[in-house]
Amino acid sequence: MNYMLLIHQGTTPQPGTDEWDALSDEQKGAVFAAYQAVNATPGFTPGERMQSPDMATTVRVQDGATLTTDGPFAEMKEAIGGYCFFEADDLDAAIELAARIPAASMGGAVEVRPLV
Amino acid sequence: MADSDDELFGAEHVRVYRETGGERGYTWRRGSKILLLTTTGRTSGEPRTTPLIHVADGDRWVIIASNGGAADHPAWFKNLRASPDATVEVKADAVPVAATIADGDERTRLWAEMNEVWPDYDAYQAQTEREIPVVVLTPR
Repeated sequence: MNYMLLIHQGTTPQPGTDEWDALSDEQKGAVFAAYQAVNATPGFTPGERMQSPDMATTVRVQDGATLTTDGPFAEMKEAIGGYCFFEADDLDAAIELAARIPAASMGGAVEVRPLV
Repeated sequence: MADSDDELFGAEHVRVYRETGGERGYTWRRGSKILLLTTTGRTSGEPRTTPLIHVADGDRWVIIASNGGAADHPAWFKNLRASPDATVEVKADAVPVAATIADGDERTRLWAEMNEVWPDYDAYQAQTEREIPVVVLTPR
């Protein structure tokens, strides 16, 4: 089964922010190492890197008119921060991988969605 | 409690450490010891606190500006280069310190000691072109 993993950043510190700078150097090293390990997992396909949700434009069409609003569709802290794909034997394996994505343990969450 | 405290990070780590005088947050993963380093933001002028693994060397403290192996120095190191006076909190004690960068034989010795505590430093060094600074904090 192929799964899509949607990464919700939540309050996970992002590089380039004060919150990131407040991490210990060793915590940053652990985050980098965890991403490298996830990337090296057989069956894993990374997504393209996304800019932060505040760069998003949300588009709706009403009565034939295109309406845009700045920012993500969801609340900022619930916005998608990244995505990836994982070919796994079963949901348990996908959950195990999702749990190793740093955002899952640092203030965010990972949504595991089976693909059709 | 020990296991959950291994998961402390960032601002929450600093808050818990201060509230408990290091009772929680001083000992971290793999038995490493954490100090809180407060520098002055080089652009903001605001105090910036980072938890860091350290070893004691006499009355001095040694830390590593690894940034986890990233290409660039950590913000706290750039702050120290702009303004070497900082404050260290070890458990419940706050001590004003001056930062210097170790070099030569001293750097070699301290780097080896730090790697005994946290063996990933060599791996961090392998990931970046810059020489990772070893910083010595001396009470002033």
